[in-house]
Amino acid sequence: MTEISQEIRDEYEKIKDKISYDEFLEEMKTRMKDYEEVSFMGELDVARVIVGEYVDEENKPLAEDSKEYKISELKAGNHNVSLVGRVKRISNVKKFVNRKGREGKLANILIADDTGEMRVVLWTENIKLLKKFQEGAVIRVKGVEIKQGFRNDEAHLNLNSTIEKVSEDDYPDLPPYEEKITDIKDIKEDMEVNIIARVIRIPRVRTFDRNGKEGKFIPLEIQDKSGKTSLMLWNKDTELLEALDIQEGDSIKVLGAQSRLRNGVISLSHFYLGRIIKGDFDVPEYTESVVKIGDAHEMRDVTVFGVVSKIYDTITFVRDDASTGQVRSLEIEDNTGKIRVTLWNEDTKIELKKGDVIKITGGNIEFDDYSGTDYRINTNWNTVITVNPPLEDDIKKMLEECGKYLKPVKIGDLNTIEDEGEEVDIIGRVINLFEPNEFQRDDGSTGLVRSAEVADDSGVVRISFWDEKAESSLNMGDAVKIENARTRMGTQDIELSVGKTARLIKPSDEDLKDLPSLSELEKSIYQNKNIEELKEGDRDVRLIGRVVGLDDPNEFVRSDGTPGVVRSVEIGDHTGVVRASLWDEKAKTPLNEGDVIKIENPRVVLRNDHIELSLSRNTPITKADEEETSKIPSINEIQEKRYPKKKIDEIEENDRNIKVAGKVIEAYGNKILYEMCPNCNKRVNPAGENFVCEICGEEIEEPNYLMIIPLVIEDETGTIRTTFFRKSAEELIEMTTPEVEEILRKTGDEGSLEDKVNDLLELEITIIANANYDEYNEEIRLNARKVLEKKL
Amino acid sequence: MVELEELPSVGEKTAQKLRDAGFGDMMRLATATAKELSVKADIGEGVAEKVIEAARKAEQIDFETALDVMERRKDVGRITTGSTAVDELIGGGIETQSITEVFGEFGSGKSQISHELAVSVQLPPEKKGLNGECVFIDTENTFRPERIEQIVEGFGLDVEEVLAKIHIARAFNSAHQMLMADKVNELIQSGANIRLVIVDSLTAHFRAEYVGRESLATRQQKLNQHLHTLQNIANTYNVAVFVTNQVQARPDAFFGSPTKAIGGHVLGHAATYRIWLKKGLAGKRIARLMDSPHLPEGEAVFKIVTEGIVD
Repeated sequence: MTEISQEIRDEYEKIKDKISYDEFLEEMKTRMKDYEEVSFMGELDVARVIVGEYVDEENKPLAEDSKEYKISELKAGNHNVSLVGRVKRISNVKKFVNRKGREGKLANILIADDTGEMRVVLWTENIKLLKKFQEGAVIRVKGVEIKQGFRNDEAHLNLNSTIEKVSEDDYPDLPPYEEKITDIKDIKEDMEVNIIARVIRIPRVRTFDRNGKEGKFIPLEIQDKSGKTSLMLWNKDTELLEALDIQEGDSIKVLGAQSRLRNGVISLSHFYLGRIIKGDFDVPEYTESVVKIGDAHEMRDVTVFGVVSKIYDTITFVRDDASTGQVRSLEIEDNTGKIRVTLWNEDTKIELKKGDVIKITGGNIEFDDYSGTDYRINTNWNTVITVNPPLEDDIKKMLEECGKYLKPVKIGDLNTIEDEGEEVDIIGRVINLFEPNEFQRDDGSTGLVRSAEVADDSGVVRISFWDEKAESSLNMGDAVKIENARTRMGTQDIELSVGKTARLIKPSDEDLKDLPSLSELEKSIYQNKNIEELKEGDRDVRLIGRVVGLDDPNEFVRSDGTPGVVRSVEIGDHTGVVRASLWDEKAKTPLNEGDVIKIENPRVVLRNDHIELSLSRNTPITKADEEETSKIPSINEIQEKRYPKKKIDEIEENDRNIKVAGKVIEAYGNKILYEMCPNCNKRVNPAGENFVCEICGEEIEEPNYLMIIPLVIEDETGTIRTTFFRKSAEELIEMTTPEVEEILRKTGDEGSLEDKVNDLLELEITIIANANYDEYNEEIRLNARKVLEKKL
Repeated sequence: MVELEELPSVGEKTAQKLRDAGFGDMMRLATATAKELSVKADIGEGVAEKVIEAARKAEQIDFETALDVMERRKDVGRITTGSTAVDELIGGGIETQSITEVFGEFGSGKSQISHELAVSVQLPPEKKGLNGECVFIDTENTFRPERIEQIVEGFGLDVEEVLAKIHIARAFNSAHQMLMADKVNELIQSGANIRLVIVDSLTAHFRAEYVGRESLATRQQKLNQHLHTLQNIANTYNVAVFVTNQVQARPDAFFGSPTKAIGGHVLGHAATYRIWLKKGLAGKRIARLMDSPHLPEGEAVFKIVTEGIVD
């Protein structure tokens, strides 16, 4: 504001007693900034605004001298002109927000005189003038500026512009205005029409890409007595619905709508000079005819209510032009049948759950050989899908009745299902989770399967997750909701299969209401047993015990050629000791003697007349917590219990793990190493230089060696022959087999350790042993398993 | 008209055998196969071949031009189903020289259409009938004269007259059913103006008798043979053949329709028109034309009322 014009000073003169000139200039500065975006607000205009606020005087029409022009005479740049014409169009008022965040309003009117037509633009302050007239009125617009518009020259109102109605008798030459209402059925391509219709459907806003900018529109479905069509509201116009409070069922008059032919269908578009008027017009009420699902056959534009009985996961596909689309299938049903529904793109994101009622308005029923319901409802961009819409009582009741069965089954009830391939929903918690396994399909592709056990308060079920479902992140203790899982017969119980058509979803809080925590579930599922109580074939057993013996893992080859590992562990509690075999990956479980462990769901088997445990993939082994540990006796206590002491005369045939103490009275050390066939582990006899196995008939180059030391021990009740094999023999002379082997090879004398063996004589030893009846000598002998103590 | 005795290698005895076996008509003979003829008429296969060859010459069965076919198609008659919508769907009513199959679940209206057709074939051409008589091969004991009576009343015809023109054949098993189809030849040769043969249901016996996968091949062969007989009748005497079929549940269908028409490809290929019926609500039925050689797939809605089939 370098130079203050005389006009502005004149304006200031009007309020000079009210504010100082400096204040006035300051005010000017701030106001100018506000109006930066509004092109038609010049400095003078701003000055007038300020003045206007201080002066109460009525706005005198300043432009006493404003000259009246014919439309054809006007050209861009004319200031302060007047024109008279008949109102042909009045637009709806549109709101806009300028870059500063200020809200403004805008309306267009179209006026015509005998020389032409002109658009007249009304801004925020002028909007109130619209109340004065309707289409068809003759008005004088005073004090406007002519600007070059986008299409043609336009007359812009400013703050001081006025509009007044004038008598049409004074202007007989003006073209007439006729508001002709066209029936929807009579609309042809490229017409500008006025219609009166009822809004029968308000689809949601659709967006589209317009040269990188997002455009939007709503295709309003409207109907009069002659037919139906859609009225497109583009971009800003979509806000009109709210501004005019238009609801489904309202009747409207649309002036100046433009018709277009698109894809062979005529539709209307709201025109920037057109107007939508909500009112009580005479158009037939719209009654929706609802199609019952049982009546489905090829039909277009139908309304269907149904309860959602099945939901499939959304599938993303790639179109020919490399863009992606989404498709999702549902199944809905009412009391007459069920039908599949296909949703596309945006609609696939609608939040839905089983048991929801949906209303589909404007879907097409198509024959579909693949749907399983013969027909399906296909939706399109014009379909309205309403979830849980307000319903009439009888429909509501009927659908509730239909959806009653749609609830998750209790896991414990699964075993009442007798058929394979039934679809069920469950809610449960992952109590056991196994590693995913890849496998090869018949067609050569690779598949993925992952097993888990899921439990609720009524039971446990084993579930196989396939492919992408196997990849979903699952953790122990997770609560899951599974829909459309298929039943199949497992080895003992019904199992569930979760593949493509099933869904793995996060349960809602409501779903979780009755689901116990992981520890509660574990408690309820597994029955605690102590070792003594174990029986062959026991299931869902939990055992807590201490590792009292630990063998090294043993590698072996299965009959199918695959390698395997097994490790033997002895576990004890206050009631006894049991041997457990840990297979394959379980064999790698880090374990130490003395650890207290918790074993869930082992297989309890009978081997050689003894209960043993078999622990493989689906048997979790965890460290027991402190409380559990404190209840388990120490290794020594267990050993005490485990190995009952016996005097020699008390020993009976088939005694196992008895503790015997006695003095060594005889020892045989002349030959303690025996050659064995490495293939069949049988004793072999020398045949010349080499050995020959009598079992496999092979000549053996390098035999295995087996250390055997026979002793006779004695206590106060008698004597007994005791043989020490392998480990126990090693313990006895405190040398390993290879060491012995080495010495014997060096000396070349198989009796070279006789002295060492004889050193055992007179020693008091305590051993763990098994008793066997020797048929040949007709006496009971001991087979030492472990040397506990040696002393003089 | 060429007499059987005039054919080479046919003496009086052979002619008699042929007549007894139902091959009295030259057209019938010309369209038979040597194997069929030798078995049924108990003559040597070589003789049979010669006889057929000669019959074909006499009847001038050889290549025919498309024009001939077009000419022959002009003779095609149509019988109304009672519903204009369904008639339009299948090109004006069920066609002679063709097999029309309807299939659908229990209660979808298959037998209702059969009854309706048994009456409407007797209507004069201006009322979309063929002024003809009808053979009704009934395999499931579904034929009800009372139902015919109701339909006849709807048309305002004489009940007894109509009933007299419906030739019922109860078929007790599949072999019997096939025999009955053969007998239609004789019935027509004896002078009955048969324009429609209804088999209701076509597959029930076959399905019941040939159970399990292992007998599937046999079943399909027999069914094929039966259909062949029917097709021959249709072509030879310008007769419409209308068969009904059940649907079976497809338990293995993870995706796709769980119901399929029985009979598989054999039937699918033999039937010129296949109409699938679906039960709607309030007596409404939906007929869908499945695979037709010259008509678009489409649907029609009809109703079953006391008077029969209506729009």
